[in-house]
Amino acid sequence: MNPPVIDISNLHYTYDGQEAVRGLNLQVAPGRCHALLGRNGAGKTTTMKCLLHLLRPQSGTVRLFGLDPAKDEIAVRSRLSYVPDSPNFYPWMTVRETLQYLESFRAQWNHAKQSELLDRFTLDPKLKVTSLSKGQRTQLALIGALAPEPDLLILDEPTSGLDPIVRREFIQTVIGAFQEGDTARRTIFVSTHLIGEFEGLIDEFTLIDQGKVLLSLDADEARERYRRIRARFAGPADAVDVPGGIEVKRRGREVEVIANGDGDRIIERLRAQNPENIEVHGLTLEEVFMVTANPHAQESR
Amino acid sequence: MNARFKKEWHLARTPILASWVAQIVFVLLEKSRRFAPLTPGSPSGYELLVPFILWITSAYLGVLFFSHEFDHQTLTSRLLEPRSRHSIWWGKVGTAFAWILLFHVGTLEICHQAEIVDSKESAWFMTFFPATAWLSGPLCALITRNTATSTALCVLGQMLCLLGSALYFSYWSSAHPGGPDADMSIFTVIGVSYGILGLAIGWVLWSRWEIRSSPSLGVPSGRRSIGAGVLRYLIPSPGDSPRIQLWQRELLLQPRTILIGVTLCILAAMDRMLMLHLPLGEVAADLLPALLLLPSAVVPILAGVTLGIERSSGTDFLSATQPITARQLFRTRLGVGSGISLLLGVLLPFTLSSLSGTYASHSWHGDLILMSSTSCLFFCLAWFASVVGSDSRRAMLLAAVLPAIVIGALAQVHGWVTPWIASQFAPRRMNIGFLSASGWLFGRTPFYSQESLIQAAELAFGLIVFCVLCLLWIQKHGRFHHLPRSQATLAFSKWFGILLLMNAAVGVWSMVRR
Repeated sequence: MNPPVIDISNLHYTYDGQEAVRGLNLQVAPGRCHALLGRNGAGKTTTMKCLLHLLRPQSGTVRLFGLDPAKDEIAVRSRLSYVPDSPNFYPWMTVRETLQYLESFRAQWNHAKQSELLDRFTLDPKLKVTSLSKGQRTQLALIGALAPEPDLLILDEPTSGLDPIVRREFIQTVIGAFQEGDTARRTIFVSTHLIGEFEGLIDEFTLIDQGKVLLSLDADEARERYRRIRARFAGPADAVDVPGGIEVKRRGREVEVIANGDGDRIIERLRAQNPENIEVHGLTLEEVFMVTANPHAQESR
Repeated sequence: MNARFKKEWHLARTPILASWVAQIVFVLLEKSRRFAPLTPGSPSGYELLVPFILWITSAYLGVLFFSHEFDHQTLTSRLLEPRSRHSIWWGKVGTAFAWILLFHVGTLEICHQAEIVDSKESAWFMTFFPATAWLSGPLCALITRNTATSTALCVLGQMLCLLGSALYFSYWSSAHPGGPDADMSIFTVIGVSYGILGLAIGWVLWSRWEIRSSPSLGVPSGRRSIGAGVLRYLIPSPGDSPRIQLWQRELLLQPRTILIGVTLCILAAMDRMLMLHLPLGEVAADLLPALLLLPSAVVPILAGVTLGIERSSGTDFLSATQPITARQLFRTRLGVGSGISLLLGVLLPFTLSSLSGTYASHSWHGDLILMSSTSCLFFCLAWFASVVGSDSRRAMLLAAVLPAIVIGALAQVHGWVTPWIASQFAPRRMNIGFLSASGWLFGRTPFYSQESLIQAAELAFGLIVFCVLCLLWIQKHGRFHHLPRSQATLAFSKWFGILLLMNAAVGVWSMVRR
């Protein structure tokens, strides 16, 4: 059996007394698109920097492709590419020279893919990188990350500066196409706040808060487990007995319950109180994130 | 405390207090005769240091209130405040005036206590730097949009103004014998005129200011790349070779260092030209040692700090996530950084000084070794500061403070420990020059040195060991985006302790041997 592409075990990182990551455990299997979700300051970027060995874990272990990125830096880095949230380039270079610079370090470089992406993003290779907008710089970083055809693509808030059209293109066409090229091998590890945009792409996700894992689930399993149940009654909703649920809202004659795994039991109990109708929907990943990471939702559990 | 005053105090307190503390320490050292001149009548170490500290700190304060907005990327929010540009401009210029005045008054008081400002000439000299820094600082900050570079530009502008007008007056005096003599009061008037012109141009720039790039960028990379663009034409295309790509990249990160190093050498050359033209020969001769020593400190510091700016400019991911070892990156950086430091910080000034006849031939080799090893120390500590400092401003401050700590402590070893060891072990003649690594830097020995080559090599040895330990640490930790302060402090203390012990041990050995 192949080892996990990413294997983080009991990771701790502290910035001069402030704990950013506290005992994080995470595994990502080959060929998966794994999203690292969390609120601002949750520890996502710190985790990614530990993965890339830009930060040295103060305790715990990090393995990529079964290797220690501190000891096998060439072996690890030749198999991965990284796109930061706001990429910057050397100001004296043009787009073409930047790609040449990145290519010089790689054993493999797909020139056809590079040309295709340059055309798709309508990036002129002769342009100086200083004249690129933030979105164009992200596009250039993405071309530099995809052309070597890595086994692992690490994306840190990659779509934050992109307009909606480019964002959709970026996510569905480019990143989606990257993984479809070799579904068994190519893995994506992405940190994003735009969960809705990545919804169709994410196979599994880990939700972290204050450096700890709140939830780690397969995306389909999450949709199955987290459900929104709406029941409409003849009388006022205040009188309805709601058994469980992580969030309960009562509006007029309607009761809305967010269920976490105990949906069937809640539906059964609500049905026993003779509702006029009941609707059940699986939550989107963004909604799962909202109810799990939002402290107000937690309070109403 | 008023929030705005608190913010300004937070910005200005470090340079002001650090300068005052440094001056007070030097006064105390002066009183205990640690820096007494070897030859009667020559300026003491403190007298040489005061203008230097005043000059650099005034320039820093002059640019700071504009440049920090670029460093911290807060200019956009400042311009969006419900205040006119006019009011923001004069607010900042007024603030800079108040802090520079405070600093100047404090410095004059320290000088008064130390009985340094003893003539009208030196009083004018000490007014020239703060006045021109205050007036020309905003323009420098608006041109370079970065504290370190704008401070350097401000300093160079002042020096160019001083030397240029001195050179002009020396020609004028030779063409018009019997005319009024040029002195510091005239140069100060010229400097203030230069500053007023700078202030006016700065105001025009400020009133037409546009935030063209993304607010998060802060620094206009187009302007930053001008120097690199010029350099690119001078070096061959790297092609597909990753090694040449890395070398070229490192070199192109250093145009600021190269520019400042070359300018300092040009200033020294101008000063030497002045020496040849009386009546300003004496002033020029007094300035020349400082002008020759300046590149040996400034160039390595800039070269070392530049290595760390990639992190703040956000381009480090381009190399740090590619399949290159940290050792490869380290070696390339070390090669380029130390090469530039030695070439522009030591060899070129030394060639100039030998041309000017400043050096006696017997001390040339010894001082070259000492100067090279001290330049290595400056370079290593600046690189260490850029690894430890979270931004370029902090890195620059640390890079200036750490060498002062190391060399100041060596002076203490020289001043206190050596006589004690001598009194304890042997009444024989001490090798006084041996532990005075700081002494020669502050003007005590380099131009009057009688020390032998072997003695200089002995002195350099401790510094080289310190540098090697520092570089080994940087190779291991330099790639990380964050390092716990305790870890960096512990490492520095360890090398420092080793350096002091080595100095003491080799000092004892040297005394016994003689």
